[in-house]
Amino acid sequence: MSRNGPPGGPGYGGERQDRMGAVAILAAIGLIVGAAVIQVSILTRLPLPGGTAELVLLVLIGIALGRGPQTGAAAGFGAGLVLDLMPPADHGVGRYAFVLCLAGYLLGLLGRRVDVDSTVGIMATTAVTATGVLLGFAAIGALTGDPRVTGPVVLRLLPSVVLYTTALAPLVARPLLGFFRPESHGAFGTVITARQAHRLNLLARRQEWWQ
Amino acid sequence: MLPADDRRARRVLAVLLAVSFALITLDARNPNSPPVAAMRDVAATVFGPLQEGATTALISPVEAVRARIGNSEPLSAEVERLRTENGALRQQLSTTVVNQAELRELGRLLQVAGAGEYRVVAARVIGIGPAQGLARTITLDAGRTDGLRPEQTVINGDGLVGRVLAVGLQSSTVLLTVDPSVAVGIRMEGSREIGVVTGTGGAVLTLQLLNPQARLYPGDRLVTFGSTAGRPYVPGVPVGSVVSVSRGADGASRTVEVLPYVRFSSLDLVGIVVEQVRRDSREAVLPGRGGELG
Repeated sequence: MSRNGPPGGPGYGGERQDRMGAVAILAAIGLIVGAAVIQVSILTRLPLPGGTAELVLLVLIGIALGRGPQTGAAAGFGAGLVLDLMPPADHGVGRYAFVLCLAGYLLGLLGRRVDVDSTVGIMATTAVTATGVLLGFAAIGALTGDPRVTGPVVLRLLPSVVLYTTALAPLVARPLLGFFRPESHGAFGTVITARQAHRLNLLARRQEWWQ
Repeated sequence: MLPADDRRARRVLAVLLAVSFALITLDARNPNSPPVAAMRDVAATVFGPLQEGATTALISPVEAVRARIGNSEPLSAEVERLRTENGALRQQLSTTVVNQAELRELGRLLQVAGAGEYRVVAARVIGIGPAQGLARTITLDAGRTDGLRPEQTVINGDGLVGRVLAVGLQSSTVLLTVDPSVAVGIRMEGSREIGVVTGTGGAVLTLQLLNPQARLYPGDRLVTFGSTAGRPYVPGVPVGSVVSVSRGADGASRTVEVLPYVRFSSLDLVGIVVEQVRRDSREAVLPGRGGELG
């Protein structure tokens, strides 16, 4: 775990995490839109009890963990706006935008401080995030007087939504985290991923200690 | 982390949260405010074709497999099937739903003129709202260009599906009858008692009759009462049947549960009533046209 500096540290690749290239931005937009469409056109048709996996949230988790809080907040806002506006949504505009923006920021901070790139790590992160997002979405609805929001309904949906979303996390969020994590430059100009750089740093520190 | 980066991230967060908050406030005050309505319209126009594409991509392999095992018609027959279903929907409206004699009587009672010819447009479901969105809504692949307008009745071969909520260029959003915010005026088939069914968000509707003493038994059937000018609900569409009647502890109030005829979990093809009774609904009780009155 690296507490001072992005994964990669100053030794191998001190590149700023938050700057996204055009390719990464286009990929992020495409993935968010694609996930939103698949969610309402395919996932909701599956005969599963309760709610539906939050596919858009999984994409956001990959982006925010890989890129940091600023990109996380921006991507969360955009993803939320898509969920708020895309038919057949009929809740107040801005509800998902608010919640996912906050979630993206917090996930970005988490990604900088803790290495969650493991099956257990990504699933735990997803479970907590999915719970928070559903409760946050319902809370804003309750505050704005949405008659559909009632405690029992929300609590009945919560376990299934968290379960489905968490189950998909290793398949969706983790590969995307790897994809969005910026490349760093290793020794002799070789291109290595931030994760590899992070590991090399740990290794180097250990070797120093032995000597 | 560099402190400058940290500060900038926090500033971005603050701005975006403020924008979200502004949108929430704007929408809460007036859901039909022009900027929000325009944004929804653009989203419907952009996402409609994408949802249609995703649905086709999903349905095609399923249909192909079904065709191969001989369970269903081949893909090429889909157009024919749609046409047949469209015809069936029209027939359903004019025959089983509205028994002609009954409709005349209902029409008089409801002050709805004549047995109007309904024109129904068939559409396919291309999106279903996730349950955690808390609204029971679907997207259809028909929109403004197909003659759809907000507040039109949506039916299928089994009965009432819901009403059109918003219309995009080639897609539209339908609010299902089971949504907790929906209330539909109904008439009991036998006793002609009138009442209101309300969505619960679950599989059943709750029924409240205007006359609390009216007799009700499980199996009693309900049809729509009909709204003014048939918007949002045309009269005489089957809604569902009573499944349980339970008295409250005080003995006076009762809870009546109605099971809709439509299976909302497996909606595929639906019909939208785009043209309804032409004449003004109030003329039916007037002696005639052209100043003969009084």
